[in-house]
Amino acid sequence: MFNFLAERLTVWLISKNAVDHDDKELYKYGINRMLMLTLMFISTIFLEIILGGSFQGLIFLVLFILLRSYAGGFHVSKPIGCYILTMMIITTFLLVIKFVEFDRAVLLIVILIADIVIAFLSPIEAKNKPLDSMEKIIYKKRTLINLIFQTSMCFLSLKLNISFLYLPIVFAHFSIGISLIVAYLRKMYP
Amino acid sequence: MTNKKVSLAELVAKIAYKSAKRSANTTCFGPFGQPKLPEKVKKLRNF
Repeated sequence: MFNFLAERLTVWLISKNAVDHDDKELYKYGINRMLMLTLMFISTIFLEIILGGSFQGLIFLVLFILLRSYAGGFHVSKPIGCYILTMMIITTFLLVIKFVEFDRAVLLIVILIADIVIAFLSPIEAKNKPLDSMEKIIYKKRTLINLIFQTSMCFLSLKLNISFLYLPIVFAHFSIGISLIVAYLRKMYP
Repeated sequence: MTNKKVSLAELVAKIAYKSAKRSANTTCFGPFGQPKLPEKVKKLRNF
């Protein structure tokens, strides 16, 4: 469906002389990714409304995307399966923060373990986008910068008791940690 | 009206270009599979 929409939109851009016909594949690809990201944000807002969230799902999604963009991790081959999995992760997060009380010490331990896993295992490439050695170094560096920044924010918000911020950070790191472990095991034992 | 449509097309093209460039310089941001990068997108790599 995304391919179809991306194709139609690209043809429209060409007809409006906004892009060159030679660059059709480039723009089609960009539109495809843009549509997927837009769908994820709209779905998250929809879930927030249904589950009565207070933008924590959106904070989770932004932090998740920022870190995951360089750390990589587990991938599902079919887009529909992947979309469902992403929405399941966000739904679980929204339900967990709504119904479970967390001990701050437990959250600290979880984020520290998750960060160690992410720091050691990242980046794990996707099948369709293998990384060369140079990219691996740069992606690792960017993952670590993101990790340090987000974890500092988490410590600060834990100290100031801003659950609005620390819960999405802990769960984003936890999800990416799990995703990296699964991807690593699949790589080691195909 | 035509001018407005053209500028909307230009805006969409600009966002699509940035989106493709970001894809060339990051791994896939979600658990969904990243489609194979076309050659023109690979050339947008910064390093």
